[in-house]
Amino acid sequence: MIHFIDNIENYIYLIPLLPLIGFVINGLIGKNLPRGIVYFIGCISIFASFVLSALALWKVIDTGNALEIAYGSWFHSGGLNVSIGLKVDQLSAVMINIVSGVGFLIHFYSIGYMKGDEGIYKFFAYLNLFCFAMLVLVMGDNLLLLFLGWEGVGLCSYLLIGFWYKNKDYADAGKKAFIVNRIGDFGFLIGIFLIFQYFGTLNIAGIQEFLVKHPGEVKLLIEGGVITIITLLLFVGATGKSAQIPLYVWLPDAMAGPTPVSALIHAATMVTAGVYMIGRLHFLFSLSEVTMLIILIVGAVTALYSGTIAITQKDIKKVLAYSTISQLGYMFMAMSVGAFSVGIFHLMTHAFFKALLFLSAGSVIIACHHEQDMTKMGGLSKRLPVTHIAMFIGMLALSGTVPYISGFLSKDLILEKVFLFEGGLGVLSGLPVGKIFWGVGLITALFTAFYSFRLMGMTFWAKTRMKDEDYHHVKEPSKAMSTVLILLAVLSIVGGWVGIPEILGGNNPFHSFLSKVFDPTSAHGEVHHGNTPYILMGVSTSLGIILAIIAAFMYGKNWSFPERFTQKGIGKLLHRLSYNKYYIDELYEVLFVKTIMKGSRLLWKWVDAFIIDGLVNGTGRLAQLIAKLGQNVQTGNVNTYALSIVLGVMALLTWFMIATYNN
Amino acid sequence: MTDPVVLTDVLFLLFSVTAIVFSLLVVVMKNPIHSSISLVLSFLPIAAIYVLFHAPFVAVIQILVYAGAIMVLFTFVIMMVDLSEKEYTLHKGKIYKLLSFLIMGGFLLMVPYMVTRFLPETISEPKESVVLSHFTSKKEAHEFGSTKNIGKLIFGKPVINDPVQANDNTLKSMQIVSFELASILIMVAIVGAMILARTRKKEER
Amino acid sequence: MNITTLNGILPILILTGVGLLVLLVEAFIERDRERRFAFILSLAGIIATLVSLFSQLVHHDADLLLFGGALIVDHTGLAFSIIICLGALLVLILSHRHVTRIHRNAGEFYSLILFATLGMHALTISNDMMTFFVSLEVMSVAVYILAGVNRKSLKSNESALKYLILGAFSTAFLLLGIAFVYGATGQMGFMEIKEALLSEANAPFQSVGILGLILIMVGFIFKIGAFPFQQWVPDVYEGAPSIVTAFMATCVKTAAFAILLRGLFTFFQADESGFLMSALTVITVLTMIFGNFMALIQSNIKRLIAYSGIAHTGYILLAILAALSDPAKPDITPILFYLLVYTLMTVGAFAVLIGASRGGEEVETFEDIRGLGYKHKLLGLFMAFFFFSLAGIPSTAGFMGKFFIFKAAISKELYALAVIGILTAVVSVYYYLKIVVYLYLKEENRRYEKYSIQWNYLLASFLTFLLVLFLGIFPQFGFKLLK
Repeated sequence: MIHFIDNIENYIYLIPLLPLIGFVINGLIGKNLPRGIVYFIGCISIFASFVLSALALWKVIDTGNALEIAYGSWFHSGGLNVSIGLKVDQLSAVMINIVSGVGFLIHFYSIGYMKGDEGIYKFFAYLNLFCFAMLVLVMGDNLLLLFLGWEGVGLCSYLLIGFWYKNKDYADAGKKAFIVNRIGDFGFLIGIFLIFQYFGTLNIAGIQEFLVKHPGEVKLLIEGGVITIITLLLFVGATGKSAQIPLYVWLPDAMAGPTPVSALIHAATMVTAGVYMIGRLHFLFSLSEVTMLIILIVGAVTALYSGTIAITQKDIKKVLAYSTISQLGYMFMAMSVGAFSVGIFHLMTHAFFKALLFLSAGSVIIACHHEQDMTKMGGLSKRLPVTHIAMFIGMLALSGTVPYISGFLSKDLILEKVFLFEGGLGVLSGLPVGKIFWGVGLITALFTAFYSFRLMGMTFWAKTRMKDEDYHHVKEPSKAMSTVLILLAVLSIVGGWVGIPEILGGNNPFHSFLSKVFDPTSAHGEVHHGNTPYILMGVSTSLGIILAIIAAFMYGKNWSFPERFTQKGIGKLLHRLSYNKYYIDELYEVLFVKTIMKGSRLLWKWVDAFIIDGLVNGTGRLAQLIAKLGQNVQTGNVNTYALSIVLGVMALLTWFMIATYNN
Repeated sequence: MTDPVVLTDVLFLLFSVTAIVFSLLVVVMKNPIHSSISLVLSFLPIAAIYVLFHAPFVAVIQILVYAGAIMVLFTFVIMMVDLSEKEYTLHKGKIYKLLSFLIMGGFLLMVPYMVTRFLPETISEPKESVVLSHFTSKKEAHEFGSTKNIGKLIFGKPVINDPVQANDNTLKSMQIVSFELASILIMVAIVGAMILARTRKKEER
Repeated sequence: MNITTLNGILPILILTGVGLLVLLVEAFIERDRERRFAFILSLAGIIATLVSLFSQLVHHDADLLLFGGALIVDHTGLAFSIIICLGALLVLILSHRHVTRIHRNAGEFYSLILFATLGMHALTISNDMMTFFVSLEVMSVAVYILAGVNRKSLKSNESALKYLILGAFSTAFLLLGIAFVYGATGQMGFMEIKEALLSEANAPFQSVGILGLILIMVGFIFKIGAFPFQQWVPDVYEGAPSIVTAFMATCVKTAAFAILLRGLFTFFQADESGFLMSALTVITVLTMIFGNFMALIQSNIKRLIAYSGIAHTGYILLAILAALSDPAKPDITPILFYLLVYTLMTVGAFAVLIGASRGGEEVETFEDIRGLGYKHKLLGLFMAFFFFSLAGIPSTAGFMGKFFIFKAAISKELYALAVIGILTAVVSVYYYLKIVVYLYLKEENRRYEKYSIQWNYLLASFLTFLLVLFLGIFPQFGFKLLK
């Protein structure tokens, strides 16, 4: 055993492998197994993986070195040699612990949540598969392996969103998530190809090595804008996976899936893959100022934008979904100002408290018999005491209103780093960029505080709007679920204590731990700036508390102000815009989906009907033709086909004649 | 150049135009019998062209097999099936026909135009190295296809540039493979004909 | 005839012999046993051919010219033939039992498949115009008949007739092209034609030669079903019996690509104007766009597969362009790998579609596959997997195939083409996913009765499933196999 622990680096392959085994067992024979065994296999595989992750983390802390293991060549083709290798360095050690730790808790929670569902074995199989893919994503030592995990988590997300294929809406939500992600992946894939093209390798360490060894070439690449293009393409992938503008539209729809799935995939782990990827390739991203600035803008705008949507939503899960998008925007802001360890720190604390919030929401939803509309809830604090407390702690962390709670620490660090950011290109040069975006971040924080306590007020504190008998039937769901909530609540409070900055009396071990990965010499270390941090913290916290209290009273005491405000005039307009998410879904539908479908139909009409048939039949019969073609997709007429072949040949020959005219 | 060449050219022109005219008639004629007779007539000038190319054997085969046997079969089948005229009318408008005609006509003008434009203005004499390089000598080229060389027609020229296999001459020519493959092609066609020709009654067991 | 020659033409001999034997079986064996006997015989024939091809590939050290250069047994040709035979083998397995539903006589059907395969193999190794043309016709005529083999179905007959007429039409261009090339060079062998086109003495005739090559290319493009000459594809694929469609979509396409590739590699250097390359580029782009967007609006699954097949043709053309842009050291592995994977995926998908058809009716619309995932779990799983693979989702071989093609395109600096390719691939996800969604779409309050399917569909789909999964995770084995 001791030998095992000492040589943990030889066994890290077990970390992703165990969930895969769980997937195989449950997926193949789970249907015929008793439920207890299905639960056991599902949970034990990810728990074992968590234990191993913890051991790996301990070893990394202990030795300060990354655990690396190469399993040899995977394939090589035309100069591309891809090896299979796993790597647990400081960054991925943190990630695998989040994934397997939170993952395990959510597996455990699902036992209670999914009770009674006939496809439970499938559900656990997919969850395990997801964990496998996510672990491959964070442990892979080359970009292709990372991409494989990247796509794998997308696939599992698709499977799990559409888990209840009862109706087409759920299936469509899954499809939407998948396709939007594919658009992002398109950028990501081209980015990977370009990296191979210019650096000759896909190995992450290899790329870093290349940057160090060939400063001359790298300088040329930077000046030529190649690095900017590559990083922007990679960022396109990140916007897809991490739901940033303009590719965020899938995440709110993804809430159609079961709540544990929302907690694990759409809050705690998968959606942070984009942030992780930027952290993993931070050495590349920091070479392009343009990209970093664009990430800052996108992150800040997304954070604010989705914050404004969250304050009007009625569906409890939609509020949390938009809040997730907003918090991801924060992480991108942190990454973009070079404060990588802060971004990862927020990723971690967010994983804790957002998982907690979603699972609490899950408890509420179960207790209310799958009702998700908050306007039909209220007064639940008496009926669901554990859930109430847990959610309250989660909201405190999310809004960052209580000092030393995890969300407070990470969010304040981000705001501070953004404030201190001095950069700006093009039209932004000369402006106090850092302060402007700090302002955006601050306003977002206020929105966060507001919608957090609006949710608490509407759900728990207001007078109940439920029918009496329904209300009295509401009771805490199973023990398993409550246990998980309590554990996560504790984590949401203390989880951030590893990163208490010096100004608050800590020494931020989290930052110094990660600095091994994120170049320790860079400028974003712990620097004292007099009283500035305290002032910033004071401003944001006190304003946040005020708004939180206002919201709590406004919605907890059923004040009529919100209703009156949204009844008429500008208030009505704003409410409508926000409630309907600025009609972006509709816009996309018209802009892309409809246009593409219409374009395809036109293509067919023009090529097959108009140009060929219409041309030869004369325009007089066009109307009749289109009607006829409504039934038949193609003309189906051999004569016409033959004629079009001749036309094609003539086109080729004419072109050839023109091309050779001067010879 | 001397007169015989001019004569050959004139004859070639005459025969090819005749062949084209009759081929067109095959398609244009409404009565199937007329079409098939036009087909027979279009084979004759082609046979004559073979003669001009010093290939009397092919010419004889052309007349015997195609014009003699196959066409007679065709005509018999058409007479037995007794197709009436109306089934062959094209259900298309006048504009359709006109445009089809224009497009095909355009194509038919285009290709010869391109060829004449691409070829140099004056080709004083057909280059032997070009046209005849398939054969080892001019004589061989002239004998190609004559009755004397029926074997060579089928098996082509023996290969001499392949020292490993040069001592085994019977099956070592380029055309043998195509010849054998052609036999399989005919086999396939026979199977197809069987499948298509089998009567409906048998089909429904 | 020495042993090397014999070894070189062994696959042709085996296929001819077995094909004829299978035809004869009908005459001597009573009907009920005939079908099984013919099946086993043809299966053995194809497997023997595969073994022979493999052994040639393994022991291959130098290109072997047979019959005075009429045939060339080289690595490329053998690799293509192996893919074709693999496809034919799977189609054979599928057709067991099923064949009597579409045609009363199994022996005829099997022998046509064998002869078509023979034509394809001869096509991949042909090295002069005459051989190539005759083998092309052996393949085409056999497939024309196969498309119309179901005499009871009007659609099948129509499809066969259309294919025949349009095929013959395109062949006319091909022949005209061959005539021009022969006129310009006086040669029939591919290598000799190339030399003649490049030689100084022949300079005045070069343009006519290129004109001939363009017309020949038209014939090829028709056969692979790329953009301006693709109209027949959906109609014929839809009308033909599914099993024949599977054969056409995979084996015929692979063979046509083999000869296209050989022709291009031999001739395109002779084209100093670079016209062939630019024409091919335009065709590639239009094919990728046209195929994918047309597939979007289809409601018939076979038509959808037909249009998506056009799109896949576009991707393979992209790989060919990438290979051609480096004539000194062309890397054709992406092409071969993609064709192998495409063959497996498509046959797999058809295996499921045929297996899922009930009571003589073929699966056609989306409604027909609704809830298939509940009716037969395994079948639904396979189907979903094949369509994921066709869409290019990672961990499937379809992804690896696309990955290598796009990588090759980008490393040859064909950026615009690669971007168009990847973008259209994103579009393709939409319609493939639509099928998967229908597989698992439940109607409210409806229970689906489970059904069983025959072993051969399961075997074929399981084999392809395993191979697609395996090649998706270990593409290296695919490379080794084809190298």
